[in-house]
Parts: sequence; structure tokens; C-alpha cells
Amino acid sequence: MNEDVIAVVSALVSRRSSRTDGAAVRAEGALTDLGFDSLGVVGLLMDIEETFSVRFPADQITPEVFHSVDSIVTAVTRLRGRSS
Amino acid sequence: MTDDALAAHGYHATAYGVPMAEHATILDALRYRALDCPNEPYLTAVAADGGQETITFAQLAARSAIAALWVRGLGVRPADVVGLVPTNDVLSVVTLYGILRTGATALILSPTDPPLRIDEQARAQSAAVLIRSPHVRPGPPGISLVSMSEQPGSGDAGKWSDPDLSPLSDAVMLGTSGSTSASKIVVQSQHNIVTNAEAVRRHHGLRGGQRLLSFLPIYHANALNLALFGTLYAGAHAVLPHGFDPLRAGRVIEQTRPRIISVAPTILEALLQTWRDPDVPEELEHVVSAAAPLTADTARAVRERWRVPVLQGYGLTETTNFSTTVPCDLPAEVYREMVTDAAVPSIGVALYGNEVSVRTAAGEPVVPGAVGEICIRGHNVMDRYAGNPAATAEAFRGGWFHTGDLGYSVGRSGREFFFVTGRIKNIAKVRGEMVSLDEVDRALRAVPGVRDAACVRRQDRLTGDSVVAAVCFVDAPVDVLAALRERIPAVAVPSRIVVLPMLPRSRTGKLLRPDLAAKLDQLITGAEPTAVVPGGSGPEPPVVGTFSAAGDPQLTRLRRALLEGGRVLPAAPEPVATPADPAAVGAELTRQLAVRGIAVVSLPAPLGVDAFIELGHRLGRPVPERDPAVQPYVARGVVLNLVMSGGPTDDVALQPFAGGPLSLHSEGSGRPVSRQFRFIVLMCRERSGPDSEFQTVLVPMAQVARALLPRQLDILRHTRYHGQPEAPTIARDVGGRVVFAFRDFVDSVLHWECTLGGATEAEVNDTLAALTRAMYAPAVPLGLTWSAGTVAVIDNTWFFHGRSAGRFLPGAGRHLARLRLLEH
Repeated sequence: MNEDVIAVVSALVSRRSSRTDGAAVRAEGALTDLGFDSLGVVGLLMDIEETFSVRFPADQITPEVFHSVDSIVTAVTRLRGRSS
Repeated sequence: MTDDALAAHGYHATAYGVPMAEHATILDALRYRALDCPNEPYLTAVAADGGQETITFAQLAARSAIAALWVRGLGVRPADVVGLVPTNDVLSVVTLYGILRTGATALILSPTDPPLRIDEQARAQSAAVLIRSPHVRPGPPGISLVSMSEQPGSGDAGKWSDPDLSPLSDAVMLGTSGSTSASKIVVQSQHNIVTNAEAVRRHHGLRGGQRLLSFLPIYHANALNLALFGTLYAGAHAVLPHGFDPLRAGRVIEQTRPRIISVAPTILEALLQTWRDPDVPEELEHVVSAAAPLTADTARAVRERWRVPVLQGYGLTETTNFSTTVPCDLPAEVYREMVTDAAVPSIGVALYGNEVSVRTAAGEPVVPGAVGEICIRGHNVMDRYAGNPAATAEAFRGGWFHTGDLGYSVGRSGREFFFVTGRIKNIAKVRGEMVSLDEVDRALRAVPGVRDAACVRRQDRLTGDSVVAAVCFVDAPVDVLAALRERIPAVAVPSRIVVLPMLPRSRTGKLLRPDLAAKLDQLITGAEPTAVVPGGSGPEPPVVGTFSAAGDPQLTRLRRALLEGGRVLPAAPEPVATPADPAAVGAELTRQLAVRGIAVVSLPAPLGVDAFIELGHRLGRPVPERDPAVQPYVARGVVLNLVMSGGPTDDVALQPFAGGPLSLHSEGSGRPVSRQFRFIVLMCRERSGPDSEFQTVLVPMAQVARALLPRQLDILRHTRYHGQPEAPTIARDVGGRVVFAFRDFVDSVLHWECTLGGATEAEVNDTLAALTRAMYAPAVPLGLTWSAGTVAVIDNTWFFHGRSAGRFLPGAGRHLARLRLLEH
């Protein structure tokens, strides 16, 4: 299940990334290294909520959670576990 | 100054240069504040890590004097130009005032520009020295960018004395936003700056002790003139985060407790997403939004969640930023009409010190409600474009500054409110910055390996516009984006490159930009990664299915109640009496449409066919009626005469002419996106029978959207009529509104396809049933009743429409003439 979440989050990140060199999205790599700016992160937040039908509470909308694919996957997994 | 330039700087009877403010220069204001309220805070800068640094007015005076000594030590003399690449921090602000105190002109450059471009701009203005924030990279060898961190941290400020400055002397130079290599450099005088500062002080009631937080960068006219100069002038306290970080911005607001927040709409959109459970400070009174068009949805969301109004402002670098702003003291109903219920929120009323006028291409003022170019004159109008007398003369032609923006005005409560409808030139507004599409085209075509290229703008919920480029390569693809990043500002670099074999061009080689936009829209929408099944591994093929509402008893009941209930629905709206002249009628209809998506006027007599078609051309592009079944009713190829003279019929093609009800629909719901009708124009030639008969029923799409769950809207955003790949999805987002392309299929069936991963056939069918029921159960359905001479225009992106009918009465009937229009 977690691998599915990783794959989906990676796909969403890749879609929002401004990198054009086709570099693979590394799960632990920082979003900023993929060319994410502040509005890109907000777009990603919206994509993730829409795709997984989850809502991040206020205390989860932090630079730490939106640092990398890994950190986002951890948060999404926790939120999905909470809602199921 | 030329006669035109003099006229463009006049304000009613007050000639340019006559004092309009308490202080003649911004340096006078600085000296005054340092004596009047030395220990009050002037500026709090918030660093990326949340750390805050605050300086008082006295500290600003002392530190800027030391900065001035340092700048003079670099060889700068009064009237020199000094390049400054600032960031949002105390040191940059102190250095800016230091430069101004030497009597030099600060050429303010964007830290997001490539170093080569910064250097080019400084050289073009013969800058004596180029100073950068320590947060800006030094630049390659050969480009001399002095770091402002080299200035001493302390010194004897008493050694500095300000030179005498003329109020009309140059103060700052700024590139027109979104600048490209061909951009123009605006020169703002000291008089411009203090006049605008006085205007914003009056408009917002700014005074000592109040905090104004700006999330905008100080290398833009907005933050420079409002957040820095406006607060200094008023003795208020500026709060300046290092930039906009949506993950921390809510916390900054909660900690710094501003009375006013200054933003661009993209920032508001992002904050609405990320500032959850906001602890809105009691001090917060309003939000000022400028730099790009605000949507009514955004204004409404802010009002609902934060309990404060958004006041949209408008201005250009050339007009020292603020020419108009929505007033702070509007009665609630006027605010609703002008902002949250308007199709496009108003930019407000003219500020002190400048006049705003909507004018024709020939330079004549238009009648209220008619669209023309927004022109400005007053003491806030820039001195000139530096080194570009031809562009200056062009901008001031006819004694007005020409903004290049289209708009109109509406009188309310004794004030004239202005609205912007678009740009004259090929401009995109990305993140609040103007980007010339022509300039990006040129930069694209200059990339080696590119055979042809052009770009278009697409609407983006977060960035406002985004730039998308189509590129044809000579041979193998090359990295276009990398090449562009070296040549044009980051904001102008396209967000997406689409490779095409050729571009749509006319026989003469002219780019057909609307065709290119439609092509790219189709490619991008089709290629957009679809949402993914939670827990799934990737996009899936579309689900297809068949929907039928036949036999849905609840729907049958609702449909009958609305269309056959015999009640007269609330008028939408009452017709406005207008002379039977296509120009006047067009102006009034345009005004009403912009506010509520429906317009109704009452003429003394119906227009003739030609005048009716002329009216259509004023509103859009009439579309020929090609259906063979209706040809007997068509006039001049585009006017359909809906003559209702018989009872109900089952023949769908003839139902518009029959006496029975007409089910709710959006017009042409299966047509391609680029050929979706925007307006339906109806004019009544004759009518007999009671009002309860033959009403046109209008159901606001916004009410339908509100009745649906977010998941249902998502499904509809991914569902379209099967086998019609160019048709829009049933729901789509246009300008912040949900627009439907859908009809009630009554007893027939709809074949559909849905690309939303995880959506099942049953779920889509349930959603379509929910949508159809929502169409018939709005909180407030509206009705149009007809009499000879009534003209109504329905915005097909705002309302579903249909027709009610009671008992058919022999002899009752009506004759409506109809035009269907595409958007201009």
C-alpha cells in the first residue's frame, strides 16, 4: 500500500516539477531541488488532497511535511489511516 | 514638457508640481518622522526562518545617513543613477533611502533577473554603480555588483546633510513589470511619490501605530510605493516578510497583527489553501489586492473565512502604482454588488491626485457602461520613460496616460466605479507580473535549433496566467527552457513547452494566436495526468457508461414544479429602459452582464433585423444557424425567429417554437470548447397571454455547483459526452467559477466517458442524476417575462436556461428573435 502511495505522490510531484531533464524523482530529495517554488507546493497540496481524498489539518501544512516525497508520503499514509 | 505631457499630469484645475501633499519629497517625510515619532517602529522585516528585525524612524534616519555617506564614497553624485538590486530586508531598505538621500536616482532592479540582464539594464541607464543585496548572487566576472553589506554598520550620521531636492526631480526608476529586453524604464519623481503616498494615506486612513503587512517584493512599484513610501509618509509601521511562503504566511499574519494586508490575488488563493483554522487578528480590517485580476470567488472566500473585505486596487508603475481602489466604507450591499456578486470585481474609485477616464480609440470619453481604454491623468503619472521620448509621447497622447487596459465604469452611490475587462496588447499576467507574449515569442525563436515558436497564455488558478509555448524544431529537440532562463526573467519563462510540427498561421504568415491557444488547450487538457486511484498505481483508461433520467420520480416532480407550476418567478433582473439605439443598448447590456451574467433592457419598440445583428456584433460574434430544420425561421443567416404559435410537440428540433415547456440546458453543450456559445441574445417582437406562460427560466450555475459535493464536481470535471473529444467536460473552471456544459436529457440517454481514476459507472450516473436534480432545485430560480421591445442577454457560462409553460391557451404566444454569440 505504501509503495502505491509513493508511486502516486512521485507522479504528482513529477507533474508539478519544473525540471525538464527527465531526472527521476527521488523519494528523499527536497522539492526545492526539483524546482518547486512556493505556489508549486500549494498546487501539490491541492493535487494530493484531491487525489487521495484527504485534508491536511493546519498543523500538517508545514515546510517539514512538504519537504520531500518521503515526508509527504508519511503524512498521507497517516491521514488515510486516520480516515479509514 | 509637451502640451500632451502637461495635460497628462494635470489634476482637475491643479497643475503638476503644485503641492498636493504634506511633504514635498519623501526625504522631507523621513526627516519629519524622525523628529515627530523617532521611537515608533517604521519597519519590521521577517526573515525566511521567522526571525524579525525592527527599526524605528530615528534608526532609519541614522542608518540611511550612514548608507548615504557610503554611497557617496562610491563616487555617486546628485542626479546620478544608482542601480539597486534589493530584497525584502532592513539593509536593502536602508540602502534605498541612503541612495535617495544623496540626491541620486535609484534604478530598482529585480533580483530574479539573470545577472547579465541586470547589468544590461544598469548600463542602459549609465548607472554610476550597481549595488546588490547580500542575498543576490554576485554575478559572473566582468559584472560589478557591489554588495550593500560592505557599508559600515555604524558611523557618525551627523556628518551627513541632505542636499536640497526639487520636488520634480527624479527619485526612482523601475522597469515596467514583467520586463523583457525591450521593456521600458519608468521614472517616478519625488512629487509622484508623495502625491501617491498622500492618496493611499487618505484612502486607507493610514496613520501612526497601524501596521501594514505586504507580501510583495519591494523591487515592484506596489510594495515600494505602498508598503515603504506610503507607511513612511503616514508614520505607519510596515511589515515586510522576505517573500511569500504559503506554509508560514498565516503564522506571520497571526504574529504581526496587521490592520491591512497587501497582496496579489495569487497570494490570496494560496493563503486560502494553506492558512487553515486561521486565528485572524482582531486588528485586521481589510486586504488590498492588486497586480492582477481578483476573482469574486476569492473575495467571497476571504470575506467568509476571515471576515474582512478585499479591496481591489489598480494602477501601473507608470502611475506610481495606485490609481483606483475599492473604498473602505462601502455599504454591504454596494460591496456585494461591486465585488463579491460581480462577474469581475471592481477596481474601485479614482484615488486623490488622479483622474480616471474610459475613452475610445479616438480619445473621446465613452458613455458609462461602455468599454474603452482606461486612461489616467494626474500628479501620480510618471515623469517619463527613461531615454525613450517616442514611447513617452505615445503614452501621453491626447493629454492622458494610456494604460493599455480595457474597462468600463458604473455610477453607484454618487461615485464612479471602474472595472477592467482585458488588455489591448498581447500580455499575460503571471504571478502579478506582466509578460509580453510578443517578447517571449522573439526569445523563443532566437534559440538555436528552433524553427518556429509562439506562446499563449492559459488561465491558472494559482498563478493567474501561465505562459505555454509551442515550438517547432529544425531537427532534434533542444533544451529551450534552459536557453530562455539565460535571456528572460524567470516569470516570463513558459511553464510548459509543447512540440508541434507547425504553427497555425494565416496565408500572410500572421500567427493565429486564438487557434494556437485552442490547439494547446486541447492537447494539454487531453494530456493532463488524471487523478489517480487512491492506492492505485497510475492513470487508467476512461470509464464509459450511459445515463438516463427517465423514470426518476423526484426529478419529474422537480421539473414539473419549476416549468409547469404556473408561478411567476422573481425577475432576473427588472428591465432597464433604454433608447432603441444599438450602441446605447450594447453599453447597458455589457454593464449588466459584467455584474450578474444576465442583462435585460426595455426598448420603446423592437429593433429591426439589421440593428439587432449590429447589437449582436457589439457583444460577440454571431454564429450562423445551420440546422436545416429551422431554416424557415432564419433571417440573414444568424437570426432565429422563435415564433411560438402551437401546442407542445415531441419533436426536439421544433420544441423552441412550440407552446410546451423547454427543459433546462446550457446552449450547445456538446460543441467544442472554442465554439461554446458565450451569449444568447433574445428580443421580444410580440407577446400575448399571461406572464405565467412562456417565462424564460434561469438557473444560476453557481447555485447548482454549491448543491453538489466536491467529489461530484471532481467527477463532472472529468466527464464529457462520449465520442466528442473536443467537447468540454461537463463542469470546468473558468475565471474562478464553475461552468457547466450540460442539458437535461429528459427521456433520452446520454453516453458519457469519465477519466477520473476510481470513479465507477454507478458513481458517475449518481452524479449526473444529482446534477440534473440540482438544476431543478435552485434556491432562487429566476424568470424573464416578455413584452414587445424587451431584450435580454444570457451569459451561457452563468445560467442554465429553459422555458416554463402553463396551460396552452389558444391565441396566446410570442415571437422572440434570437442570436447566439461566441466571445469576441
